[in-house]
This record gives sequence, structure tokens and C-alpha cells, in this order.
Amino acid sequence: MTRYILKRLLLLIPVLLGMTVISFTVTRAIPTDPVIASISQEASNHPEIVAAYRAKWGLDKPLPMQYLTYLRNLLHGDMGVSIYTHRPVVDDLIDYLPATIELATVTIFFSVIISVPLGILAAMLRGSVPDFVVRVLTLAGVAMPIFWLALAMLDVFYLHLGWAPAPGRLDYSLQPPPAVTRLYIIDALIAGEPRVAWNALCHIALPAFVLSTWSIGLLTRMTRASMLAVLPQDFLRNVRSKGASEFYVIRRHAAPNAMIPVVTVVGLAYGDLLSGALLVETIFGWPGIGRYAYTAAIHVDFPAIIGVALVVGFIYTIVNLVVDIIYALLDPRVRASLLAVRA
Amino acid sequence: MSGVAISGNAVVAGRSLLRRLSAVVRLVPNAEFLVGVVIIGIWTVLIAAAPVITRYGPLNQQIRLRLQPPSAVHWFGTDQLGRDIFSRVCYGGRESFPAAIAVVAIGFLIGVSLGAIAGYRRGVVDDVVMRLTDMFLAFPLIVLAMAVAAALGASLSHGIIALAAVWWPSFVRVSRALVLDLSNKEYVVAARAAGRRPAGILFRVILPNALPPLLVMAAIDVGRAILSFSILGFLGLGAQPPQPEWGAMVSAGAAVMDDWWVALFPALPILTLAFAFNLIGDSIRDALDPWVGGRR
Repeated sequence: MTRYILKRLLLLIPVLLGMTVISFTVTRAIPTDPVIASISQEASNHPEIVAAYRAKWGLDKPLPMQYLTYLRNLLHGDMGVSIYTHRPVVDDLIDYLPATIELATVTIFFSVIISVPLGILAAMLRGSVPDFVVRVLTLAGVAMPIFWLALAMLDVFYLHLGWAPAPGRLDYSLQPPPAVTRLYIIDALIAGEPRVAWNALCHIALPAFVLSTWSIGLLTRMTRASMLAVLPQDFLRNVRSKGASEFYVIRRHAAPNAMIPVVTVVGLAYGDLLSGALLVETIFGWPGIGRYAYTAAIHVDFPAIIGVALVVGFIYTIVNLVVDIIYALLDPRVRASLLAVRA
Repeated sequence: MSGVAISGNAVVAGRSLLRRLSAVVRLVPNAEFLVGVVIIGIWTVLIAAAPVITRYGPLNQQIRLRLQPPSAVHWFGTDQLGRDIFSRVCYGGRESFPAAIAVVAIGFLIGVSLGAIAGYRRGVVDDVVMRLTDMFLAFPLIVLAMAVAAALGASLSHGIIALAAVWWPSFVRVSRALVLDLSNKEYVVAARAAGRRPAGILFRVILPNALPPLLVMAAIDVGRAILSFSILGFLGLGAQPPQPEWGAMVSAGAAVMDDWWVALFPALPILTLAFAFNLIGDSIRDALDPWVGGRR
């Protein structure tokens, strides 16, 4: 197992390098002068600033050398300066990323709690009315234009019913808790301020709910399909014939087997939520990297967009690596084959 | 003898494409499939016949009739400028629907070419193509598409280019797997033994047999493309006003959410079309999957 994990970690290096190659190519492929694309219009009128920029990023050297300079700067945590905010992109990302992580994590937890029982139930009641309702609703969740749902929810629950708090991560009257993880809910609990934690949770509830329509749709459908593939199998009939209760059969034998592919999809969905949060963040005024990326795109702020793309790509890759390892741990057959091959 | 058989290969393959497609259609006479087809059919008719069935031009402004709720005259109501929303939704489809098909078509061409070559050549080519695809899949595609659209300047055609540029990776994986699988079939071995050139084997023998599932996948993908395209439109990075486009119309309705019809009706075709394409995808998948289909 350790060897498998080590091997996967080593394989991570070419993938991450490849991502920097893609991001480098994108910045060079856009039909604008990379200097103009990376520093502001005013700054580009000053020859000395342009010269300094060219020297720093090695723009007077051939492309492979430019890439190496790009990589070196990246490894030093230098993603350039945002044209719009005039701050180093890394600093912006450190400020905005935790809000997105918090939103995506709450969403995925909520989705799993709802989807797994719902999917199992729908599969057990296959063909019945509840199954039909679940299928239609989850399909609608996957097909939903989330930007319309976000607008409608905000209108109903904030403007009219007043159940949801104003956009943002906390009420204006409250101070953010001392930064430890920068996830407000956890930080507030660490600081012993349950009132702040509760307020943060209230603020995250509506955007997370809207965002979860897609992931609940996806995960429920996946759980249902996976359960349907497991249910007709012989080993379950065997357990039943021994007189085990149906609940025991599902909980102990069917569900664990059906969950294995679902784990992979949860990992993929989490990665997609990080970028899928873009619309919800923009509409709910949630100060995450999605809204940051949107503002950056509107202002053609390339260092910032590429910064977001790299960070999300990086997290996505790591999450999938972790999921693959969990997958191997969960499935004794995969575990055995890994040990047998001595991968 | 074998020469005849091989030259007939393309014909056989072509015929088998038709046979497989009709087999797929025959397999799924179920309700889901039909509902999906009906929804898509209704929207297609509304979009195609827009000039005939709409009473008002999509750009006709009647300021005095602004923000009228749905009525017998204005089925979907009117927007802030007094434009008929039903008309704008129908005409909007003339942007979104062809644009979504174009995105999938370009993504299909790039993805299937890369996937087919990777699956057929194997070795280093395969490794390079697949790693590249994996890396692209790891990137947040909507962020990249947004970046490309913003860099090129917001417009309908740039939106198509931006989405197509990030659309191909999923086709690479599937077409590679299909080509890998088909390469071991007897008729491919026979074609190779008869001395057919590798390009001929790939394009005339293997690909025609790999096409049916890929075409089904592409058709289902149109729903996803409509959704993605409307996201670009909503963010102001697709079609520009006053051109009617569904996502952009929802965005315009955001300012007047209390007049619910302004944002709801442009969202309706996005939701129902994406729903219908998914429904068709589900029913085909169920029909082809012996495990799921068996207990039906």
C-alpha cells in the first residue's frame, strides 16, 4: 500500500508539470502582447516598467527558457500581479480560496448525506412512484441552470421571506474569527464562539443548497445505478436465503459494494464544485475564487485567471489522488491486486 | 477472395453503422426516450418556426407595455423594454441550439481524432495524448472557457470557440477505449493481413464501427453544451445584447426577479432541453446495459 501511494505521488509530478505547461501555453497563445496582458495599460506606457517585466519573466529569451523562468517564479510562489486588484495573485488566492473550500465542502457533505440514502431507497423501490419522483427530481437537478435557481432562491428566501441572511460570509455586525484555517465555521468553533459559527452556517446554507442541486442529482443517480447493479447479484440472494433481514442485507452487503464507484464520483464532484461555485459565488456575493475568477475574466486579468485555474486544477488532482487511495483501501480486491503486482 | 472481402469492408462497415443506430433506436421504445424526443421536438419546432408563430419581432420594443405578466397576447409576458419574451425565447434558440451543436461537433472532431490515433498507435503517442487529456480534465473548464472568451472579446462565435477549445477531452477517452477494443476484432486483423494501410484500417474499418456509440454520446452532450453556453451568456461572455440568448436573458431578468416571468421563461428551454437530452441518454444507457436492462 505504501508503495502504491508513493508511486502515485511520484506520478503527480509530471501531471503538475504538464498543468504548468498548459497554463504557460494559454498565456502565450492569447492574441495579445504578454506584457500588456500581464501588467496594466498605464504601466505599459513606461518603458522601464516594461523592460523590468520582460527581464523578470525572461521574455527576451526563447520560449523554452521563458517556460523555465515561468516555472521558477511559480515555484517561488510568484504567479504575477493581478491587473485588476494590483496585488500579487498568490495573496489574492490565499484570501479568496478558503471561502470556496468552505462552500464546496459544506455542499459535498450535504449532498452525500442526502444522496446516498435517497439513491439506495430509489434502487430498492425501483419502478415505484417514489423512485420515479426521485429520478425526475435528480435529473432536473443535473439539468438545472443553476444561475436561475440561485436568483430565484435569493429572491424568495432573502428578499421576500427574510429567512436567509444577507449575502456574504457573516453578518456585518460580527467580526470574522481569528484566522486558523480561514474556514469561518471551524475557526469560530476553535475560538469558542458558537454564535459566530452558527451565523456563518446560516450564511452558507442557501448558496450551498443551490450548489448542491447539481451534486445531489449526480450522486443520487450514481448511487441508484450502482445499487441496481449490485442488487441482482447472487451473493445477496445467498445472504437472504440464510434469513438475514432486508435492512441487514442492504447495510452490510449491498450498500458497501455499491458505494465503491460512488466514492470516485464524490471526488470528481468535489473538484467540479470548486469551479461550479463560480456562478453561485457571483450571485450570492460569496468572496471565493469563483467570483474572483469571474471579475478577473471580465477585466481580462490573465495572471489572476491562470492562478485560479492552476489552484483549482491542483486541488482537483490531489483530491482525485486521495480518492483513488481511499478506493484502494475500501475495495479488498483492488488492494489485493495492488499488493500482488507490487505496484 | 480476401481482396473482395476487404474492399467490401467499408460498405459492410457503413451498413453496420446504420444497423447499429437502428438497433439502438429499436431497443428503446420506452417512455423516457419518447418524452425526451417530444421535448426536443417541441423546442425544435418553436425555434425553427419562430418567424411564423411569433407575433412580435424579438427586438421590437413597446416601452408602454413593459413588464407585462403572461397573457393571451404575450404568452411569456414582456421584459423591461416591452419586448415579447415568447418571441425572444424562440429566436434565442436560433443562437443557443446551433451554437451548442457547433461546440459538440468541433469537440467531437478534435477529441475523436486524438482518441482514435492514441488508441490505434498506442505506445508513446497514446501516453502523450492521454496524459495531455488528463491534465486538461483536471483544469476547471468553465474558468478556462471564460478566460478564452474574455481574451478573444465577448461574442457568440468566440463563445463557441472558447467552449469547443475545452470540450474535446471527454471524447478522447471514450473514442480511445472503443478503438482499443475494436482493434482486436477479426475483421481488423483480416484487413491488416490483407495489407491495408494503417490509415485505411483506422478510418475505413475501425472508426465506422466506433461511430454509433460516439454519435449517441455527442447527441446527449448537446444538452450539456446548451447549459454551458447559457452560462457564458449569463456571465456576459457569449452573445451580446440586444441579440436574444437564453443565458443573457436570464441575466437581464435578474434585476426584476419580482416580475418572475422575465427570468423564468428564458431558463425554461435550458432546463427542459438539458433534461430531455439527459433522459434520452439514460434510456439508451439502460437499454444497452444488460445488468440494468435485464430486470426491467
